[in-house]
Amino acid sequence: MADRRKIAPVLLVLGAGLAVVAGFRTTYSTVYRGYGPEVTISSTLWTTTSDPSDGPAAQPAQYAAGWPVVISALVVVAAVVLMTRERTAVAGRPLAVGGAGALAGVVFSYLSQVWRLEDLVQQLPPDSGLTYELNYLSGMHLLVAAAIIALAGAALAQRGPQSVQPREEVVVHQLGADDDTPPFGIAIPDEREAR
Amino acid sequence: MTTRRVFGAVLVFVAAGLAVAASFLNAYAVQVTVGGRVLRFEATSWAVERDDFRGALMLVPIEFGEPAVGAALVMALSAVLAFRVPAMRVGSLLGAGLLAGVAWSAVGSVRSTVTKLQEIDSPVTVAVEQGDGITLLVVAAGVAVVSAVLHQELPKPARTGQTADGVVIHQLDDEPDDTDTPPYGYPVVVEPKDG
Repeated sequence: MADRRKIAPVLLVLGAGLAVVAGFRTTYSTVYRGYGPEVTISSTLWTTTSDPSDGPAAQPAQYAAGWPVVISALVVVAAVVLMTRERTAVAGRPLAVGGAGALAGVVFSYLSQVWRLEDLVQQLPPDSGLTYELNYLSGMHLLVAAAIIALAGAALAQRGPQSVQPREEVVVHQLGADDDTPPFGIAIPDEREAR
Repeated sequence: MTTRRVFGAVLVFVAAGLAVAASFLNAYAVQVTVGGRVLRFEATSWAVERDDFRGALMLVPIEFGEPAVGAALVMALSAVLAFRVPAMRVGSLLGAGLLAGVAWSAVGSVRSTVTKLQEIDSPVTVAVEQGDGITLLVVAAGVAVVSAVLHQELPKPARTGQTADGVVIHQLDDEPDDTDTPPYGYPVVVEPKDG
């Protein structure tokens, strides 16, 4: 049990940290060929950059999920801080689940939006001579890993079945042998009736 | 199961239902008025409902249907299972966290669509409105968080005071009958000495 209690905060902090780091890495890129020079558009959770660029260096990302990821990560870290003290751990453990859940929700939303984009890219007519390619990059892998690690940490942080057991207050020992005295004693045969 | 927790469980179901319903309502709408004609784009989280622009604006639905339904499933399942396995209660928090993350992402996507369309230099005004789907999703996330907290087992500080009293009476039978020994025993019959 002691191991589990120690692993959970480590996993939670690791997941939160990874998520924030992942937000600044490239999550996916789309490559457009056939318009002349090949154009690669790369996105992080915060910005979109185009290579070669034809305007400002970085624009706000199409699916900006930077702040939601950072805030969820902060909630997870706050939960870990609360869990370090036994008095506040009661609030910390549920908060860890909520924070990890929010992080997973944001990542899931982000992922499904990129899936939708991938679908859209593939539906374009193939005979036009234009090709589109969508690549998932390290940021996306890190994000998904961070969400899973945080969820695992939150699950481990919960109280195990062992600590719940003391709730059983009454213990009745019954030996079950034939020579036990029955609970209400052995009836004394009334001799007057036997006659 | 206290009344509060049953109420919490019912609210969890309500929130899950709201989340699923929200995914089928309009997520956002774009409206352009050109010379008295109204062109409109409407999309739920699953599909484009109406597109008078025939794809010219490259608008896509905000993909939150799958994550929202996923979160709703987690919430509903944990509420059902929590009646059997109390430890599953924490699942409703996970679902609420997921839903909050999804709702936040969806709101962020609408906001970014609004700013993106405002940047377009066009002679006609482009109006973007947030649909009922997003509003309902945010409401569902709020209800989910409140219900998940209600659903949890809160610490009872009063309990330690009770056990400190010293005397605890265990009653094994649900319905005591006349054959039970009274809790403080039978009075001992003392025979008078000068008999």
